[in-house]
Amino acid sequence: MSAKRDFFDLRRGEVLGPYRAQLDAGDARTYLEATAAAETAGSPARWLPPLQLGALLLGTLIEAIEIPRGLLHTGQSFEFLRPVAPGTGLTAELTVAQIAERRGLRLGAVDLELRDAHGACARGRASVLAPLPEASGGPA
Amino acid sequence: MSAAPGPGGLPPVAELTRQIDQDLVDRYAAAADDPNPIHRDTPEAREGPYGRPIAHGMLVLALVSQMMTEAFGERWAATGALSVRWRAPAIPPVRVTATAVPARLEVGRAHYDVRCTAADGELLLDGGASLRLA
Repeated sequence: MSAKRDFFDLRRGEVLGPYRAQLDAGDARTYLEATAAAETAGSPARWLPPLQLGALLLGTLIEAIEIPRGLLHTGQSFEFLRPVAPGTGLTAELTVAQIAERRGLRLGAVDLELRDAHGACARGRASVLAPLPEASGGPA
Repeated sequence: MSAAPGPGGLPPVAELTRQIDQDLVDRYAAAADDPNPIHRDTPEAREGPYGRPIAHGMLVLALVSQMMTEAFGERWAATGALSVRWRAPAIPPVRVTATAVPARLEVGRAHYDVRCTAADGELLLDGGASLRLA
């Protein structure tokens, strides 16, 4: 992955990626155990837990952007477009959908899309906010 | 709870309750490869607004997706959608309950109002979930 982008330098319409990823059955088991799901949700051998795809997209966002101190993840949407089998080659792409500054805060919305060989298999939007750096004295 | 069919005969969804403690948060941080120090016992977490680590929002949201997976299986993986806002942090240890209340049937999609609450009744997240029924 290339150098991380500064959250405060992101511009609307900017595209980050594509980033390649793959989740195998072991990753799915680890995810289910880490979300206290293993005892009831079973281990979907045929498809990955849908929200694990969302977690992968957010992990890609965390890898792509330098997370500023005080950043809050305020809202999230996801659409799961088809089941994804463990071991499927995936590509994630992030697009900065909205950037605004209000009352000492920078608000951002980033569209997330995960594709396999057939096209989009999951997408979503992450909404975040972070205090503007004090040194900047407010919006630039 | 959620035993009776909802509007338009929407299938009920059984609620799901999980204990979120710091060990689970630590395991989620490792599984999600999330380095944010506010989720671990770090100076950043201790000096933050809550004075202690908070659980990942995605860990709380995972309960909603698990609940929908248990109710609808592969249909949730194939057609599910979620849109939520976090209202308060989950501060471990905390017992969290996810619920889905049938809301409406619209263009073949079943819509549910979803929320996660702590054992003391505090709202942690709310929003909507939907999926195609047939």
